[in-house]
Amino acid sequence: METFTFVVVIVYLLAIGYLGYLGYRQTKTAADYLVAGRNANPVVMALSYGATFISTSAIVGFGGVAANFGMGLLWLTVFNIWVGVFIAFVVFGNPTRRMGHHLDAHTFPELMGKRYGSRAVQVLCALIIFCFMPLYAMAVIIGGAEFIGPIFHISYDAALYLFVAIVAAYVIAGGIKGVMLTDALQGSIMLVGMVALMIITYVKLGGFTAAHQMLAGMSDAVPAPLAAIGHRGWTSMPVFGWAKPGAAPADAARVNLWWTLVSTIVLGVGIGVLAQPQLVVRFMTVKSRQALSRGVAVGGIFIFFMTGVAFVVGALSNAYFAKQEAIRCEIVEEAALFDPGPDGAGALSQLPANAPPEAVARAKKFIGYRLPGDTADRPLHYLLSTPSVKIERDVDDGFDVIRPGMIAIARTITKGTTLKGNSDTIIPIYLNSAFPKWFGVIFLMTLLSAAMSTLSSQFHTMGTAIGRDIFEPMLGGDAARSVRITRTGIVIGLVAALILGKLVRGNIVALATAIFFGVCAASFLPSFVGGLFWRRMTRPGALASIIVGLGSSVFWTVFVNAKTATGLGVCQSLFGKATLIPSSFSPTWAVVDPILVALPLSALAAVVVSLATKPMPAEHVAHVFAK
Amino acid sequence: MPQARDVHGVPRGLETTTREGESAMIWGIEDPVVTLAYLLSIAGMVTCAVYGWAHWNPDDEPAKPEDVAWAKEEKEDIEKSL
Repeated sequence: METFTFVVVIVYLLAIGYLGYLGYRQTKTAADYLVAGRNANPVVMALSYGATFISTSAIVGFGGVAANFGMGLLWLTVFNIWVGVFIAFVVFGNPTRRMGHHLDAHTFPELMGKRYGSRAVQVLCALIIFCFMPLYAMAVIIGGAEFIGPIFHISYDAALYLFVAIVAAYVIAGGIKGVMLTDALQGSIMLVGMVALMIITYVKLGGFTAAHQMLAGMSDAVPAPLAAIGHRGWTSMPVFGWAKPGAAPADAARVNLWWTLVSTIVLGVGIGVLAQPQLVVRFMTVKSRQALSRGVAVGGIFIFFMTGVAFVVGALSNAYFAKQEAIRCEIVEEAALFDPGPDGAGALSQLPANAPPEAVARAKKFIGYRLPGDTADRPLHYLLSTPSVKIERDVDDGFDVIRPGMIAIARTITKGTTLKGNSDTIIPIYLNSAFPKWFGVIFLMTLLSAAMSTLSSQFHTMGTAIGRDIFEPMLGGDAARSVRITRTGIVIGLVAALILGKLVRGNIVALATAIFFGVCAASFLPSFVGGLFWRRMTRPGALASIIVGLGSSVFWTVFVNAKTATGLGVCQSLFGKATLIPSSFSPTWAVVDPILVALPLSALAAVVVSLATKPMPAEHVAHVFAK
Repeated sequence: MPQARDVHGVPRGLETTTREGESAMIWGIEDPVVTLAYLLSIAGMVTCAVYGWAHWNPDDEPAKPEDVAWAKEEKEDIEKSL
């Protein structure tokens, strides 16, 4: 099977390389570059958009979040389609393209710098991109590595290196040249993979309504930690409310999930998409207004089948795992002991035979098994042993059958994870368990496509941020040195994403994506929108907006939002407490996402400072907004 | 009454979250707010498709010299940097 997998991957990579070369040859001159865009098959053109927008983060990371939080995540699909496609293309698309071409801007920071006639604006935007984009790239890479590991039966670290090597080869070989044919092939594979995933999942669970009913009937299986923060079942929104100051912790926590779902996931990502630097550049590279309109059509359909399917299937995976999963295997040990550490929150490690009694007492029992085709030298698979697990020995052609009967997140608990599980592995485990191997290989192509098209533009954006937007304006460097620095920036971005991916693992893909989108929205959105549509917006207004947006977003992330502040530990080490929310404030503030505070503050700063400062010279404004 | 369970599927004694008979389900989905999200997603997809179809072949603006110059520089930049 591995040989088949390798052959498919190699054929896929050769096809991508060939199409890239073909497309590149067809566009020898700049005029060709434009003409090709105008005459291209509209479906080919439109599919290429979607491939750049959607990454493994959306499919694996947010699909896993949907498995935890439920189908309420579909509100993110609503925002993705209405805001990320419709508003972005119809309202922002053509003005961005026109202004970019008119000002001869080729990157987002350059567009901002030229709009406001300010090198400081350009450098500041580039620094923000260069510092924070590795976080998003990390999320995309982890999403791919979590899937590749089980497919090739290799460790997470090995999968991480393999995935980064494939992506690096693609980027270094010129993936960003990825003219439409390459992107369109990737988009087509993604579309086919996700449509098949949706259809097979619904069929497996008895049909559209029956599948939802099965999931709705499982609301009594909501884990206590999730029920305590307001989870009411996978086909319901969480409990909504706002805790009163001084409320008992248990009462206050009952609304936490709603605010996490809506403020961090739905609004953070749903609005943040408007200010993604690589998306803005995409508008500039669109060849004509006509192409933008066509992009709306296929973009809307594409996003529905990418995010909508990932979220629905993620939630429905609970019904599959709890009601239908049967693992055909050879059980090797029924009571392997794994220790979560003295505080019960550590990574699970197998206890040796001579383990101390206190470690044995707190250890959890796991079932170790081999899947058909696994050789004896491969590490065993482990499943948490719970009262719901049913074992049938020697029933299927000599194989044993395990029926776990547990929800998705519990199914992810294994050697190396904590007892909280890892939502980033839910979609990979679901695909490996519920689908034939060949589908896993096809889906691997889907994820490779999603990751390669997104990462190539991310790394190129990071490279140009440091080369074109920081080095050139600050040091007045020559073009040759600028190119070298751009390449260095790409390598630094790759290495940074790889290191982050090695250091941080587990329930991180969606969070890292949301943090990056939130920072972009708070820092860039008001000055970007103001720059496009408000002639009175001034240079100090833009600078103030970016600084206030970035500052308040980072402050809220590090000192106020409980999840990120606790994870980073800076607030605890500086002030001796998890967050800086005073006791006279509602404890719900600690779960509100930074975007809800930072974006309004950033917009306010943009308006107030612009109105309080001298308008920009009339000739500059006339030049910027020239038709 | 069903009970909430811990992450291992073991009952914890918390009050049930099942609300049988509370409201009629649409498409088997318990919460109308979730059904609304599903509907709006589909509506968004249809709106985008209709908009794109309606504007599939509008009179396109001719390429301006600045468009050609921009494309030339973009192509050169990418070739130089990779």
